[in-house]
Amino acid sequence: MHLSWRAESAAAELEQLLAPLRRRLWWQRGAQLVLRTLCFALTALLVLAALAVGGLAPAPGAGLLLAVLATLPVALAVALLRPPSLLATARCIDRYARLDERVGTAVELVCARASHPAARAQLADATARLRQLRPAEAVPLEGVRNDLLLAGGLALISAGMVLLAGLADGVPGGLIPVRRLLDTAVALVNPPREEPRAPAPGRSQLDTRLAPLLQQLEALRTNAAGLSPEELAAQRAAAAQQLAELASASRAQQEALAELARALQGTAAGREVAEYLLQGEYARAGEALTTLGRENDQLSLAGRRQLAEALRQAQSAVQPLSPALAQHIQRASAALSGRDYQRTARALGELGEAVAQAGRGVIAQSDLGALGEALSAQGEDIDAALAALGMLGTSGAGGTDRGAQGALGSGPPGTAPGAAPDAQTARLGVPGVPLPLESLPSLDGPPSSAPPDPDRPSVLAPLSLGTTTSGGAAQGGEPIYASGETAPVPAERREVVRGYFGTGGGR
Amino acid sequence: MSRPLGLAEAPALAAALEATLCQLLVGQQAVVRGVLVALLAGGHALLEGPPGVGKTMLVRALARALALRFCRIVFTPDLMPADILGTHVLVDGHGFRFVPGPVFANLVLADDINRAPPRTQAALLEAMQERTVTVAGTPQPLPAPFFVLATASAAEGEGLYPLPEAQLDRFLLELRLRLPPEAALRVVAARAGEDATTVPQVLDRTGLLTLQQYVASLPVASYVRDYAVRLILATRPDQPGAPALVQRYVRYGASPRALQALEAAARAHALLEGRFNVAFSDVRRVAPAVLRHRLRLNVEADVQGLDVDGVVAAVLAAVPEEPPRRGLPVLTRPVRRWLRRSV
Repeated sequence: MHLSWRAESAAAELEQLLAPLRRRLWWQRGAQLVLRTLCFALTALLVLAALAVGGLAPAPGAGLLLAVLATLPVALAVALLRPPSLLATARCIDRYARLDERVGTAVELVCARASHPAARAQLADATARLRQLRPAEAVPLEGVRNDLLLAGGLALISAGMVLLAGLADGVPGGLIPVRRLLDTAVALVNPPREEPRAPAPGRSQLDTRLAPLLQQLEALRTNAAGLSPEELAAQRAAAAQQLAELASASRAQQEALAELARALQGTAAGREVAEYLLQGEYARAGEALTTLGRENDQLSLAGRRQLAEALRQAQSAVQPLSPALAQHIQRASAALSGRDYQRTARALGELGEAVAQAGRGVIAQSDLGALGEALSAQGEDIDAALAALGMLGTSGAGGTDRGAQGALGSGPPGTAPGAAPDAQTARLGVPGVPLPLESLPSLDGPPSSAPPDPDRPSVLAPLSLGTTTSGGAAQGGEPIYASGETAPVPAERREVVRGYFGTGGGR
Repeated sequence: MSRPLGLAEAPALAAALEATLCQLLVGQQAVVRGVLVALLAGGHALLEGPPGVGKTMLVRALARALALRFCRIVFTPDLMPADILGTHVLVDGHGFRFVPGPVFANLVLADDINRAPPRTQAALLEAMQERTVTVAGTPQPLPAPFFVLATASAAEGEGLYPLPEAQLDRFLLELRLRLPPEAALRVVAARAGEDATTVPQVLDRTGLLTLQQYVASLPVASYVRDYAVRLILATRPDQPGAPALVQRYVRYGASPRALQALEAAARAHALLEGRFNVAFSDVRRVAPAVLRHRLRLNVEADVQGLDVDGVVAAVLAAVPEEPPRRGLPVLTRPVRRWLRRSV
């Protein structure tokens, strides 16, 4: 009885001594499991980022970062659900403190309720050793510290590699997922307020390229009495033709720039340039291209390759619209395909200059519209001028027609960007060259067909030279349909056109 | 020595006994430890080594330190079983009387045991195993404690009868003596004139028996026992987890008796280390002496000149203290298989 009591008290003391060490071991194992899981996840991230740097895989996104972070609570939960047993604790202490299996054997004896002399001696020996042991000796945390260092190092390397992988999308590209996460969080907490849009800066002056034409029309109007009707009609027709050529050239440049914007929109490095182009800020787009060229040594191989491919595609689309610009694009694409940074910088700089120059060739829609008004005020030859201008395919009046948005009607600076021309507009022929209207599908219908359904989008957009689209035509006014130049224009249609341009109520 | 020996004093007494013997037998600490392990575990030891390294002196000193009766038998080819066991002699007027042989001692030194014919060897080995001698149908119990320290001649030649494996298995340990190093030789030279018989008594016969009982009762943790089992299994060439060296050079591995011997020797070693429990280190330390005479190598090993100690070392290196985790072998098996093929 006495021996049994002594054995029980020794066993109780042993368990009491082991309890804090067991908690410490639990914490140590949990921390190690979490840190090792983190190391594993970071290693995977590092490998993916390295593959992305090598151009073999896309850059790691926010989902992957979230998955890496999600492993931590899982590991923590697993660690919390698996506390070490008393025997496991004892064996760990034996191992760490080099106690030669004293504590482990004692725990087994306690579990087996052994009470023979050797067991008692063993229990007493183990308890005495445990009493002298400091917790740091029994369950050291060096392993946790080492794992922490390893995880920290891996995290730094992984972050660096992710940033390096993001260089393919520009310098801050590696932070794009983080930035998006932060933006989303900020938007959830503090939703942005709708700010009234600032009105577009007024244009008090007409484009200098259109001013002589306008002056010519003014002179025609004031000197109309001194001219014969034939001379008057001939001069009006010449003015209308000149206006159509200017509009056509402007549209070609604008389409070329839109093609370039569309190609660059798919690349992260060229996205900023594309946005400037779509907003009509061609000078800033040129500057952005020059800057991109200056910093092209920071682009990754994948980024260069992506940009070069985008430019190559743009070149083939721009070639028929603006051969000069296409040549610059081709040079930039070739330079980006190589590894010569200076050549790339030079080529992109020249491309920026070419873009700015092409942008200067674009005439604002409002100016074209003003000139169109002046021309229509001259009377008789308005239909011929409109027919000549019909191939502009503008979007102002029929803003809902996608086919018309990509051409001249991409919108003036400050308005919403338009889309690139689609197949329908491409069918209209080579921009810049006036098309005979006979070659166009007449929306008046094949021979004596019914008038077109106004609700149905037309192949040819309703013509509008103006861009101030608050008028009736844009809001459901009668659309104007182009017809063959040689076909007689019905009198009622003339009235409609005059009413549209002449009375001022149309727009 | 009248006071009963407590378990708490046992490690100190064992250490004192070891220190006494080591003081006398310079440079042979491992052999002294081995002899004491065999003695405390209640087994017998086989000594291999060159002559003149102190085998007889060791046994004689041990007998003096323990106040036990010592006897030495030099085995020769013409030695008969009766010469060591004893025989019945006719006494005038009293009929036959049993005259015990030299085996009736507490400590027996059997010199050159492999020079006696198998019949004589068998008689001694039976006495070692049964601790009883049967002469003319009458069993004669041997005195307790009974400890045989046999030496075997390592030289090969005519007139040698190698011990068969079954009889070798009866020795708990096989100890190998090496020639002492230079420092030990200087000490031996300095002590040349001293009387080697003046060994203090450390323990008596009753105390030794108590120590043997304590050793037998020392606890062995389940995971340490599991380690010993895995060690024994690893010596078998037909086991899948056996080291490549075992699979190639071992004809047959250790027997279940080897496992018992390993555990008993580890217990004694633990007490000599001052512990009341068996540790992994105890098993590892005694494993070579326990296993080296129980493993039989094949002809290829002989041709290669491979020593059994190398195989035991490979086994110890291959078997981890912690059993492999459940999921790990599945993952590492192909790698290990490939490595085995490559090696």
